Amino acid sequence: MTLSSPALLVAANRAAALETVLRWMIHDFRNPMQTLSFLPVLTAVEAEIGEPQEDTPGWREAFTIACERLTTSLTLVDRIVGSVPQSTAPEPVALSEVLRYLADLFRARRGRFRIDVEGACGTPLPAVAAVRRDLESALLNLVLNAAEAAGPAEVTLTATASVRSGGVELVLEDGGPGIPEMLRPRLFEPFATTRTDRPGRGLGLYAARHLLVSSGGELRYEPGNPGSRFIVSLAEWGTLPGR
Amino acid sequence: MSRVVVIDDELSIRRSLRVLLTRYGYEAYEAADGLEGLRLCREVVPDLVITDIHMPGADGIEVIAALHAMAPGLPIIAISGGDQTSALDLLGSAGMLGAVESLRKPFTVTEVLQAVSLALPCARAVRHG
Repeated sequence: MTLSSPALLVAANRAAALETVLRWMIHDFRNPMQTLSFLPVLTAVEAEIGEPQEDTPGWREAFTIACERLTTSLTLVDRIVGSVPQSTAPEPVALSEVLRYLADLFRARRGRFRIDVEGACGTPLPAVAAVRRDLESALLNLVLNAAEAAGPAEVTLTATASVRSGGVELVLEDGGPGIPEMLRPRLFEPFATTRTDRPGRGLGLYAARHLLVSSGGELRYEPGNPGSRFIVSLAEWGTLPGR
Repeated sequence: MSRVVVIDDELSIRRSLRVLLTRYGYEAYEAADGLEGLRLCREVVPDLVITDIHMPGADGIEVIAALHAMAPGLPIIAISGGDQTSALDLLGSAGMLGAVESLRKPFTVTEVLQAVSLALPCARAVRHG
């Protein structure tokens, strides 16, 4: 394995993406922890007053919500680090489940960018041939890439899926600034990036394409109006030779 | 009684903060996002605002800038759950924009009450200055 081998670059990218997601999770844990940290004090004050106040149901609701948020975040962390199938060969993958996972992951991301994959989640889709872990990484990279390229601007990313002959096409569109024309010819090469302030990045699209192609899929780019469109083509399970 | 507006898109945070502040003798109000927070501030004319940073619509940084234009001298406490090393961390920017105090979640009851009591004299100084 050389320093620039695809496996090494993809592994480096996977580590960087995981770091980003775990930072989000830290943020997601801090909100409910904040609420729960008030519980002993509010309970003590309540006991001192001796009877429920007008807003007592309000703060009890707050604690219930905080507990729900913690449960959701813990489930996601478990999914990210522990429960993902480790198969390295293409297998039948329910794309809607993968999209649902991405939707859950991004549901709590508010403010700078919004991710809407709900439309695609509800579409009846056939099982696709993919390495599930790689497909999730590839799609996560496409979303992170859109957010990264947008800088501080708010980005709305929407995903739509449609059944094509022998496969499924997933389109990820963002309302960001788009890819500069001069970068497009080498868009899927390692270290191709519009960001010069974040050394070591520029592997996301390369890794996404590598992961998709190695399990029989494709990834291509089209300029959006505005923004970018990334089209992921996945073969329906059973249509690839030998399956 | 000092008026405090709490702006946070996370219901559990703004609700528990409002109840906490009420229990400690403040007249507290809550808003679910930056735009609602600005509307509420025009309505109740608070002595202090506590605002989250990461929110949909107008985020905390925009809220701080708008409040400074709307009510110069109004003390603002910025709160955030972003970690210190990532792009999510905007508490530093909040300080540069004039938030008198920045608190990283999770902060303790003592920390927030202390920040509130320290910030409120700033409001009185501006009002009576």
